[in-house]
Amino acid sequence: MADGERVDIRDKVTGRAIYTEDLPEPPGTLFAAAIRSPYSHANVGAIDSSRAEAVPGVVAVLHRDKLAEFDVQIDEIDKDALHMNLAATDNPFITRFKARYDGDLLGMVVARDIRIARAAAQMVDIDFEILPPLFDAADALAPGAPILHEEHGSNLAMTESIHWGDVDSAFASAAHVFEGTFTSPTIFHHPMEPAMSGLVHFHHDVLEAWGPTNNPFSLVEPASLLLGLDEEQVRVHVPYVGGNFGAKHMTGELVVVSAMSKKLGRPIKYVATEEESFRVTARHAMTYRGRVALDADARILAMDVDLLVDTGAYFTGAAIATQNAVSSGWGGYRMPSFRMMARTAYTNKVPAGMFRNTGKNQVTFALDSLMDSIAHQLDLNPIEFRLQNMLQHGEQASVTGWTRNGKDVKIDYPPLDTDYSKLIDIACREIRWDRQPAARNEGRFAVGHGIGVSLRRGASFGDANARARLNADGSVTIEHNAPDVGEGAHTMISVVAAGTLGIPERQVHVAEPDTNYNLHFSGTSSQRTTIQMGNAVRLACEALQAEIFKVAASSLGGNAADWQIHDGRACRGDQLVELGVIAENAGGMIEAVGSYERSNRVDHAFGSRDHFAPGVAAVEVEVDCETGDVRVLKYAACADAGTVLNYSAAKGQIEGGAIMGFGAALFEEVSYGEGQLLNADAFQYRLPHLSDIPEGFSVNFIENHDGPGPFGSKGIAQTSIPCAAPAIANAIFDAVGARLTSTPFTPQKVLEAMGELKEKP
Amino acid sequence: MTELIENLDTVQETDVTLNVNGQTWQGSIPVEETLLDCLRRRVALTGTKRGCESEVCGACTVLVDGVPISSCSYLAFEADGKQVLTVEGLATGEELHPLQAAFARNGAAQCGYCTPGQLMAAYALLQAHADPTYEQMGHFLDGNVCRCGCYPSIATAIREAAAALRTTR
Repeated sequence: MADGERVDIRDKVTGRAIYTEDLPEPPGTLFAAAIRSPYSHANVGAIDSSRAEAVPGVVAVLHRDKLAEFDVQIDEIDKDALHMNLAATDNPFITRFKARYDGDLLGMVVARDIRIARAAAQMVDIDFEILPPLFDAADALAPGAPILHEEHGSNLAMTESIHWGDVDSAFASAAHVFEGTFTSPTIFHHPMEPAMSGLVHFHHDVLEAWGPTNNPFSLVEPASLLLGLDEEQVRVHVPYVGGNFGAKHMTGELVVVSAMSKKLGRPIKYVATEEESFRVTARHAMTYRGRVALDADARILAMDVDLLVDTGAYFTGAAIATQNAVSSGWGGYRMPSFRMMARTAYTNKVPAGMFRNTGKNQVTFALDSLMDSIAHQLDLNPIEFRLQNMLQHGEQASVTGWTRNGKDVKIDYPPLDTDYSKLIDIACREIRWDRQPAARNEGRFAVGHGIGVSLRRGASFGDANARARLNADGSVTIEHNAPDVGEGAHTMISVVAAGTLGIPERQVHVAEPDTNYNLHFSGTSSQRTTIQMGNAVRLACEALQAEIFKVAASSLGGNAADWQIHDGRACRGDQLVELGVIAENAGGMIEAVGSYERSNRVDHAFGSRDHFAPGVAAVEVEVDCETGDVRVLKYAACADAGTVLNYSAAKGQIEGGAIMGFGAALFEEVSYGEGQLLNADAFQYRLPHLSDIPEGFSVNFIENHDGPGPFGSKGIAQTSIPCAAPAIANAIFDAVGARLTSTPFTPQKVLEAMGELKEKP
Repeated sequence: MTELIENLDTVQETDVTLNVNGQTWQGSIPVEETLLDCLRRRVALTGTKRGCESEVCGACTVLVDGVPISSCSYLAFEADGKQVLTVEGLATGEELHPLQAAFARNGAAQCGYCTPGQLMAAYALLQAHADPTYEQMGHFLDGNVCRCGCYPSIATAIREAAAALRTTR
């Protein structure tokens, strides 16, 4: 490994990286295929799998009527703890009596060959009573709409609100009031490695599973409860993971094949197709209606926001997405008074879950477009307007008098720990923008500039545990359960371990996640890994170092305090000792565990936050005024990293987030119609390609070494994605004077906003 | 569907001889087997990845007689007697190909799942254009999606590898 290289990069450029589907199959492995609802909304009547079972090569079929046959603990199915897909409270591992989206899981077939399994899954005869589907949150909340979950009595999944100050008085006394409505559609994650696949093997009284996930523990509890096992009897490994973005969680499919493996005593491999991967999860669609009150000097007095969230068929990510949306509703702006009310509805769409920067991308697009629009309407420089109204370094957002859902709450947000003016200066300089609006363009192609700014409240709650072990060969192994889903988590662990211990990175081995280590982690998500796992690794290595010095002192002389580690070896004065010798002196190895926890304080507004994660983007776009086509000519992203731990991985996070934001801004939208999901395949779902990305693309960091992570680092993974859509929308306005209020900015919408299309074609 | 099931056990097989990364592989395969499945399951080279299985995402790109193809949509028997180059064939022992070295140096892979395909498309690009423009990169790599969004780093890596290869030619 060369200096600064990611620890996984050699495997990844040589084809040696083993992903779940690449794992060699144990002897006797069977292959699984899913039985799914082809309808978006239907009652499930009689299920007859006899034709499928008669197919030569089919070994077993599991569905609603065969749960007892496979010893599934039926009583456990409706208990909250079991619900798959994260925080779901109404999403059992298979649906039994009602299908609520196109792709809803009804059971699995296993056979000796994948083709036989897939063909037989089509031969399960099911009486469906088709119900009218709902694909829009407003329709779902309208009186008389069909109800997805009868037990709730309506399609309203939840509400969430935050309020401080005196919003109504502020609006009454305001010199200016502006408002805008912005919509963001459902989009898909599209990890390159299809989501959901896995290999399970029940043997020696243990269910062993391998799967692509950001959290191996997410299978342990549901599988143990449904299969009647102790948690220690479920062991999950995570090989290389081909992308996550919120889509790689353990799913019902793996629970079903786990039950089948236990009953049959055979290993089972489930390989999801890409069209199935499109049906794992999605990003929430949102409609944001915001009003802003300002005084005569263009200072914001108050904001009042109404938000409608579409969570799809099940609760899944509803709470996190809605709370995140509400808690990011004011971005980095100074708000003397603020009110935001969100309603979240069920629809017959693929259940929406976590999506990189969950809930906040949609809100940031709306908020920062609205702020830009206000500046233009007041004839103010949009950057000066922002800087006048944004929190400054050290300033605290309003922290008194908050109510959340009508109840008083405590606020534990730290003061702003970043400097927007610096981030904006760097981004503008990169695209050579002097912050003045473009001269009015003439001719077919118009060029404009825009910025987007975001503020994410730092790492979420969670806990992390890591074990550092000095081996007899002098190397150090770090055991942990933070899957590297592509962001560089294992590189971060390597950098932190080496830096804490004072050894070169080549002496550190980062192990593959394995629940048998008995080291819990809340998952590689929510921008928590660098802070929480990073600190757990740092603490483990500090404890290991103390142990090493103790053993050195007792076996080699001196006091523990006399010993140091320098360049991979222990030293005391002139005495230099290989670390392996010290491990040998301790009986072959020395190990220590580090633990770090940020608890979810329920009496506080939106949990516990330890720092801020701001993002800024500056873009130059060209609009073809005849076709409405938008091309991004220059893009500059800037983040406050605290300390960059590995440049290559950090740059990749900012670059990749921005490009994912590009896709959402310009191309991506899930289409539903005619009762169906229409574009769940790579042909019809448009993703960003290299040729969409400008050659002039830059990433910059500011580093003040002031973050809560190891060596002053902060979380950065989700800082660039929210800035793309508002920056591009604001640049389009600068170019052609048309305000885009709905992503993606298709040529048709651009021409409509320009007034070029009077009627929809 | 019933006919398909009946036919599952009576698959027509054919003998093929492939040259994969300079080594000969001979065997009998079902006529409808894709080169992707043949490489992954029979030749036991799993570096080539399964993605969309519809010739759109590029994760399965390999070269057949020097031409980049989507191995998910290319029947293995069509490669009979031809030279197949996969990601495993780029390095010489432990010495990385300049493209691999440049990808590693620039962090041009994150999750790495599309990387074998990106490398093979980039290899074909550099065979055709020793000093490619950004537009030429876009043309050759447009069939290779990277959802992690490594495109700027991939472009930088290709430029560096092209420069390294030009000096060694």
